[in-house]
Amino acid sequence: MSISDDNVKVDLDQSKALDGNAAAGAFSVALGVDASMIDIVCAGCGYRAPFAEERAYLEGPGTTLCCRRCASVIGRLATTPAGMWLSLSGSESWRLPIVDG
Amino acid sequence: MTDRREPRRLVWQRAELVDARRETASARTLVFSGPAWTGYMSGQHVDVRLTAEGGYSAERSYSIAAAERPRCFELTVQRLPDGEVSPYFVEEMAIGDEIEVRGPIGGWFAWRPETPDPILLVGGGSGVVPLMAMIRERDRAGSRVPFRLVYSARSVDEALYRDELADRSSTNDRLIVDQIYTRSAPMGYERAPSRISQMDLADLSWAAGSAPRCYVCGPNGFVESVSQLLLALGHAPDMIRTERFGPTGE
Amino acid sequence: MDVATRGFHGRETDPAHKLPPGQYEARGFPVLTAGPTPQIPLDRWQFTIATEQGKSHSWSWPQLLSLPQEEVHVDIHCVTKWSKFDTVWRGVAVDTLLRNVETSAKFVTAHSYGGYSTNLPLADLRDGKAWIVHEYDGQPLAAEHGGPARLLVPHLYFWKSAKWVTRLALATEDHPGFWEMLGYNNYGDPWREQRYTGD
Repeated sequence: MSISDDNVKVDLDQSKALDGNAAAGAFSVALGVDASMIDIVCAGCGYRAPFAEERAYLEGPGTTLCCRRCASVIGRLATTPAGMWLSLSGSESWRLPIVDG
Repeated sequence: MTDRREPRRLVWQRAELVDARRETASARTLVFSGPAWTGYMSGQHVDVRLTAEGGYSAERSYSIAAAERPRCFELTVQRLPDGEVSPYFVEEMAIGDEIEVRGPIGGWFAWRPETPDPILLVGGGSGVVPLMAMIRERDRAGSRVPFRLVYSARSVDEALYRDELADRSSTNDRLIVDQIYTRSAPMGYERAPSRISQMDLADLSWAAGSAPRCYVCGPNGFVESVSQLLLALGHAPDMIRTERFGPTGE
Repeated sequence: MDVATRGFHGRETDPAHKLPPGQYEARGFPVLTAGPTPQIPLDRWQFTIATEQGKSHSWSWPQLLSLPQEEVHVDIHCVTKWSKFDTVWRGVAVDTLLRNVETSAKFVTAHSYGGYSTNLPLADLRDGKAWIVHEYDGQPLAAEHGGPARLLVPHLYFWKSAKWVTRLALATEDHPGFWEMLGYNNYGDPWREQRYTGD
């Protein structure tokens, strides 16, 4: 939970975060699958966890999803009149659940 | 089957309050009717959206407590001291009023009766709501899967579902419910009030060797501690699922 | 869908103040947890202005506090629709920090500890429009509100007032920041309701 900013190690406190369950509704709409079940690999530290167990921050301009281990940003979603903007930047991969036929 | 095909239900829909009952001085169960409601998996939640005259809106998520009647679902809402939405649900909303809901959402923190493993449920405060949904679903489905609930509440007055939990566990030898209190316990209660500890979990749940699936829900601090305690007791990380309600609470 | 929920008022509002379009007044100062909270030890805190030429000007915490301080009374407006009137801050005017900085850059990216960034025209940080603040309401700025120090640019939506600010990178080109790249307005004037890209 530390990162280096200009060579200064900074601890990132996630104790006030919700978890991915709180962001699952909006991301499920954007992606067309049950977002809570997505397996994410963090590009920052390699940690893999289900979306539901990552840290979610809903009170900014958009929703930010952070790695529960290293606190790097692993996904973002902004809902605007022009549409939903989705960023997966900060993630190595997202494995979506299989959608039954 | 329809577990993963969420999106067709994931639009905002109107839901009308058709019934309500007080659970404690600060918590209320609300029964909503939603014409598009077709069922859920226990443990799932809904997103709700409230819009004031003038257009200001607020969104929150609430675990589904039950879905007993056709086209209806129930939420149990705990009023938070500085809450913006919870006071409305607990004190103001009246039969006939409407909100918008989206859901059910989230197959991760969910229990299906087909799951054969014994189930350990650990809930703190209003974190017991989705766990209660699982207990209700277990009975509805006639499941014989062993369930244990460890429920941590501040006091008797703040504990949700006391009578119902007592009824269900007394008529069902495979459902064991243990209540612990953190601030005040009834006179003569065997356990003095204190926060949940490793010893509590060791006494009140199966050993890790039985490989139960664990569902932990409540405020962040509670979920964090309980998860660490379960790991310390030897439960495998992939057998523990958590849902964090945020920083407020015990 | 146009559904008003009877009886729901949100937080209490005071109808007496002038609000930008689409805004509502907040009585408290909502702590909006938009990301992890960096914990920055003061003895390692540093603020840097880096010019487009690659020159850096840096201040330590004691150095920041030894600069001329101003008390600032302003209204703030968040893009999530809440506004707060008469907020009181204390800090150093960005004009003061730019005093010895030679630059012909037109744009700035403000960088925060923890990785957040936001961009503005340099002109919007000059002439008494912006501060690096370290006190709110007479108290040291709490980490959850962006402390030890944040950027304060009250004439723009509050996402431009970068919490935990550590660096202003001056540039000849504009580089959209964290939210500007994801659907939010590049400039963000609340009085013209420039919330989103294209507004």
